[in-house]
Amino acid sequence: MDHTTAAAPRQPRVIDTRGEEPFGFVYVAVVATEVVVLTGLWLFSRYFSG
Amino acid sequence: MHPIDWGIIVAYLTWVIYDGLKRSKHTDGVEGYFLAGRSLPWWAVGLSVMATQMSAITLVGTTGQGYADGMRFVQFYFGLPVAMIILSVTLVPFFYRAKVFTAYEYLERRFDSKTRALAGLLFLISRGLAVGVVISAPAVVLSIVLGWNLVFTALAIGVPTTLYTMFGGVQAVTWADVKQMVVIVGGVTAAVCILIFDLPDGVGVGEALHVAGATGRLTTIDFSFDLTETYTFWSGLLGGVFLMLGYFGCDQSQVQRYLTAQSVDAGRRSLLMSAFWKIPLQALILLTGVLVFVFYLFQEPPMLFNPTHESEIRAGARAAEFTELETQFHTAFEDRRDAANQMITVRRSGDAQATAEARSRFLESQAQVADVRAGAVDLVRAVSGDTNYSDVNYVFPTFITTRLPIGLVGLLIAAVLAAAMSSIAAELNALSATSVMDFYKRHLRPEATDRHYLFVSKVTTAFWGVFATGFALYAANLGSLIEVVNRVGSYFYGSLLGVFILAIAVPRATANGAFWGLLAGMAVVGLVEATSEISYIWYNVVGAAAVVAVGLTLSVMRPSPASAE
Repeated sequence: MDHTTAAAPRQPRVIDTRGEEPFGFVYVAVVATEVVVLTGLWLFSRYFSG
Repeated sequence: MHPIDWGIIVAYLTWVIYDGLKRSKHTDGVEGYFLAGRSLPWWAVGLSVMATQMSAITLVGTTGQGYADGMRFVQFYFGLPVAMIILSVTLVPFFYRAKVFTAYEYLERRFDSKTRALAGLLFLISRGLAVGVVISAPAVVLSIVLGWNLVFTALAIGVPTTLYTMFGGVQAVTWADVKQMVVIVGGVTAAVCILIFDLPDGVGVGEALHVAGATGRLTTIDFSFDLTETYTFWSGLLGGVFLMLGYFGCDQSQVQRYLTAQSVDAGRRSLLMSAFWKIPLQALILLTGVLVFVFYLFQEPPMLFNPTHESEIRAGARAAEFTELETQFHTAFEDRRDAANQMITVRRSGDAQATAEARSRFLESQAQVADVRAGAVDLVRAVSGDTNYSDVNYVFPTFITTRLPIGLVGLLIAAVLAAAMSSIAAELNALSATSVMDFYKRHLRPEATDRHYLFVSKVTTAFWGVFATGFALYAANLGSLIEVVNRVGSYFYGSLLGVFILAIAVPRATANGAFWGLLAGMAVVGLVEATSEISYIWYNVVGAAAVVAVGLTLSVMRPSPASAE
């Protein structure tokens, strides 16, 4: 049985940002949150370990 | 354990099973059973993604690590947010639009059936064994700490989980995960509150944390670059990205979570929920372990938290040695408690010189306690012959059962069970999906009815539940449990990730290149582990790079007829 169907192209696009709404801002928010969290952890560590 | 605590645990188990069985009404086809008809809201899927990742090993092992080693383990997750963004713009839309049931299904569309079968088989082996470990970890700890029979404990975890997963499918798994995340977060938060309220009169949280910080337990970031160290900023950020890409992008137990979402955007949101919350949640769990350490600075802990071999030692030839160690431990504890109190008092005075001296005295007393404990561990290992003996995973359960008030004991035990069940359920569901869609339907019965596949899916779920519970009983002594599971995954995730990179990002990649590249990737990881001291977190980078290099080389040397034209 051939399971190759037309549902998926043989070579998809690597980066696919298509969707119902733009996510660019959310990705920036994720990175910004990580920077804030890691900075917070570093400061927490410095304050209590010093 | 008090009847009220038993009542809470029984109520929790009943609730989960009842709700799971109720969900079976909505799973009348195989797409409903495995993908919920792609209808679930993003927040439920997001909580399910987090609950699946957080097993009881995470809850029990991580608090133990916080107690014994501090918070540096949090660095392991630093690559997760970046990995989630990468997945949101690559594999999530790709899998969703391909309308696949399993991640491996696509590999046949892009390459051939043998590559799909190999990837599916690797998942079944690695995840089938891992789910056994996920059951055995809490079963062993709870059976020892609570005095329950090990078989009973493993069955108490495995049977209800298998039942609701078998009858309710992915709907039951997801909605149980939502409830279980509430129980887990609620339980941990309650434990943190109790730990703070139980500090000695006059000792503030900040002062207690300064004492813990003096031992290095609050060190959260280590910027050194050392390939042999697992818990550094660079290992977590770089190695961790590949580990998380492999886990969330190529492990069916996670891919299946976001395939149940209502849309591509909902799938993205569900993953990004982890990107926002995973590191803070992990830090909270580690901090809980550190607070347990602080608690035991002022309340005498047991010398060893894992009493497995204690009766054997007390009845043996070296019993007197063990008793002597207990006496030394008691003295060392009292000295450390006095030193901790002195450090807190002196810090208030603001005298830097006196504070440094008090801190030095506290660290000496802490080293004395650690020495006595290490001596006791060595004695246990020598007498019992159990070279893997460790008590790290027993710290938090011991604290729960001996120090928390009635009611909270039941809630926290339910939280440990919830953490175990949420991971196990998702994994059983994914094992069944791969078994049925990638093997049974593909190779054995391609033309059967949907009703037939639904029946087989339920039988397969039951099979994996029985297999995992049985394997759990044999996986009792595998050393540091949290690392065992991660190590098992690291052998496969990187190589699987490499195949998906070839599939999506390398147009020239051929089926033979992908197949042999996958095998070569795992061989290279095995070679690296056998011949180097590199931390397992880097195996994913090695595996993925090896697959891409070998796969690309073979594809260039022997291009497929279509690409050669």
